[in-house]
Amino acid sequence: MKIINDHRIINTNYPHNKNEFSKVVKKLYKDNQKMIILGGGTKAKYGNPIDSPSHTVFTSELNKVIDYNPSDLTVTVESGMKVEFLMNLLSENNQYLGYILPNKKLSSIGGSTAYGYSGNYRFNDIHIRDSIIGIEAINYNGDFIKSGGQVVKNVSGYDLHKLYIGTQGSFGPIYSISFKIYPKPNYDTRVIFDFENYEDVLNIIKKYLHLNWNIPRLSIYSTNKFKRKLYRLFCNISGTKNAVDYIKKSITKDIKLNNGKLEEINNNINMSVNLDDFGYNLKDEQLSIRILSSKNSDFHHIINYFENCKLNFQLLVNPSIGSISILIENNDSILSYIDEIAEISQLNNYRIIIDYVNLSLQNKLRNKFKNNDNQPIKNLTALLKKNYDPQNLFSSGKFI
Amino acid sequence: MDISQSLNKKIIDIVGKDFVFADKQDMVVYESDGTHDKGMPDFVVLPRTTEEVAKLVLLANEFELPIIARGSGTGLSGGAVPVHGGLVISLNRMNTIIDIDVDSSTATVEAGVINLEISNKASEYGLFYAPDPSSQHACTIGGNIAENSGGPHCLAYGVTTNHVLAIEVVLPDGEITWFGDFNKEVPGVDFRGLFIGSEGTFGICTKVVVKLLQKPQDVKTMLIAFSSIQDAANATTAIIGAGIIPAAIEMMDKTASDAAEEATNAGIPKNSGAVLLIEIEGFESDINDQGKLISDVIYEFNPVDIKIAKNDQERDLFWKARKGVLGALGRIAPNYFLVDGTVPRTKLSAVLSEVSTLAKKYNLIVANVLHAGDGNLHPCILFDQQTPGDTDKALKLGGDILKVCVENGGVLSGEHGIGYEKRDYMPLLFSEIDLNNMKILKNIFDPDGLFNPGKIFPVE
Repeated sequence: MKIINDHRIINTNYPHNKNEFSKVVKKLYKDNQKMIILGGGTKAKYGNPIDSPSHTVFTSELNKVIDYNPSDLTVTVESGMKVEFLMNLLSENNQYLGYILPNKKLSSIGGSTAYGYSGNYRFNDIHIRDSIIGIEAINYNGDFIKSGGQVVKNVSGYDLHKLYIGTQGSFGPIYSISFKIYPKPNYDTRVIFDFENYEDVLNIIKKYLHLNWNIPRLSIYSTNKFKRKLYRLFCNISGTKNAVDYIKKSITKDIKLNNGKLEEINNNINMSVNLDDFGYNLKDEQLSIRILSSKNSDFHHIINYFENCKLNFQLLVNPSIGSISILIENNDSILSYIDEIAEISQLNNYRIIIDYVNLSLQNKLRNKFKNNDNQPIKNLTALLKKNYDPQNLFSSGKFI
Repeated sequence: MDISQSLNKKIIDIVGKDFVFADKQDMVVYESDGTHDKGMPDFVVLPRTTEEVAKLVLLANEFELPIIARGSGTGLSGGAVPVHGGLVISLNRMNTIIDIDVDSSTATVEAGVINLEISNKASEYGLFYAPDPSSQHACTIGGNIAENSGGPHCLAYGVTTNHVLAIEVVLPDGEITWFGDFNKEVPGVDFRGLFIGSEGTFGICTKVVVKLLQKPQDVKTMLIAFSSIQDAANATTAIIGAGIIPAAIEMMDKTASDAAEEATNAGIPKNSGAVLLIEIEGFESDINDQGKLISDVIYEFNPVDIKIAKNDQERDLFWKARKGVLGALGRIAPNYFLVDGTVPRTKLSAVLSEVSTLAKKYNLIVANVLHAGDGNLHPCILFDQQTPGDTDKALKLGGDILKVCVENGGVLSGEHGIGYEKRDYMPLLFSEIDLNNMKILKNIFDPDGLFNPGKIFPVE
């Protein structure tokens, strides 16, 4: 039996077109075979492992543009298209998705959709859940199901496409996806500030978080590899030149008042931290988790914990998203640390997501992080699974 | 005591006798919405709390009575019309703004709160709620959620679903739960997203947490007249194509703009082929640059007049003309039928030409009002229902316009919903398989089919 990205694989399939895709899914389902759909395969280590050997259907050959007229500000592509290809295509017309999906070289559009994470750079707080305007999916009979459309405003029927975003393929494969897209801002500048005190950097964040100014990234980075306690604020500012200059001036002034130090202003800084892909493309001994808050949070408890523990870590706090991404060097006692992080998270009503982990640890972490959904939501989710995947063959055990 | 009396007594036990209507003359206003569709409810009840709503749902289940949630009844798809009778649950008494959280820029409100009241209250803190349907002075946030409402400024800001973080819902089995989270990253099924726009067929929304935005530093409002509707449509496409996304691009054709001017004296140039109302927001220096860019782009399309609002009063007047245009059309004909298709923005001009051809074919006046920037058309078919055959003719013309929208890559509804009015057009857009998959979703939420029956799905 083959192993791909830690999954035990019975067989692999590479459909080359829409009809082949449908036929493969229909046959596997009819034969009662479990299947996972993979694009770039980069999210395979996310969440729970697949619970039993499965057939793999790769979408990598399904990578065509179905419809793109730049003046409509919408684009429809096949799900196997690489994120970077789509970004480049849009960029040729000075357009973009409004956010930067992580791991763009390897990730597919379909995988990013099923995963439902939009990265830490977001213009106007745009999330992939908002920017997808239509999906064509395949059901267990191999039939195509259309939901939404290729227009930006649409309330025709149920938004069935929401079912496929962030649910890791649990309700069936996605064939094509339509996005609402945006003109690229004329300028995008990155400014970096250093702070010795977490409170000081939070003051800046609190002020700028809700101004709806064009600050698509406002992230705090820290690591025990710094020689002293240091919080580095990465700030992307975008828009017209006038707007960017105005915001930059305002922030720089406030930074000084809050004991910060301007580190660099540059559009092409050679940084040691890859913010777009933070938590991805890791070594086998690394673990990457994200902790989410359901209310405005400064993640003080988590920051305190890491400052005082003996783990090697890097963390990226994204207050506008309500998340903190943590990259931990795996060590022998990692499980006891994980227990403590889980406890802090539970006390603060945070939710933990595993973004990257090796298989042996993934199995140990299975169900470690409790899903605190309420009972009606659990019931409805189970009913959805039962109805859209009655034999539990799509991404079995991955999410539900 | 017959069943009806017994039910009436049980409803009174839940909400008190002052908040139940069972006599036809008291329920007349609840038999329709902003459309011509009608249906008389069996009871109308006005609960005050979520718990009362849940009890009413359980009671309706017991008596197998259809349940129709209703806000202010401003809908334009027959969505709140009790076409099979039943229990109309009017949420207008649940109208408290529970909390404005300035730190997190959110408001928690009850479902019966009027849309505009959220912005009015939030403005005390320099904040506002972005989705602004033309009926925002009357429509409720619960109704907005049912229809995923839009509005002129949704071009830049997005529609209701983009601004609602969480909703409290009474499910068809009487359970009370919350859908959504302050955090969009939470993995799993987006029940919030599925519920918004489900037209009252999945349950009743009772509380809402919305996102508030900081008011822009500066606003510039431009009224631009063109000699033809094609020029106005092409100018819109060119603005968007040039990478400029104003806060709003609204269009009115000659019939609509002349009527609006007569009603408001807003200063709209008379006898122009069409006008665009364009609003840009942002930093002062920024909007001047954007204004110049827009002027450069539209220059190619022969604008005959450009007015820029000199102050807030003039701006408000421009918007009064635009948002009040449907009422103003009453000067031309006593009745109208409003179509709500959306097409790709590059198809606007072609589709408007076809609308004009169809209007001539049916010998009816069509006033075109558009959220042009979004490609959302509102051809307003004017007629007199007293004239025999006119109502049918208007409805048929509306159907033909929707067909044109779909043939051009568009959809049946941009912001009003399918409701009762457009349900039979669904097969134009969706296959039987698509519709069956939507029915699966409906059955998961509402297995007994009691929630807003007769809506969305075509009659089989």
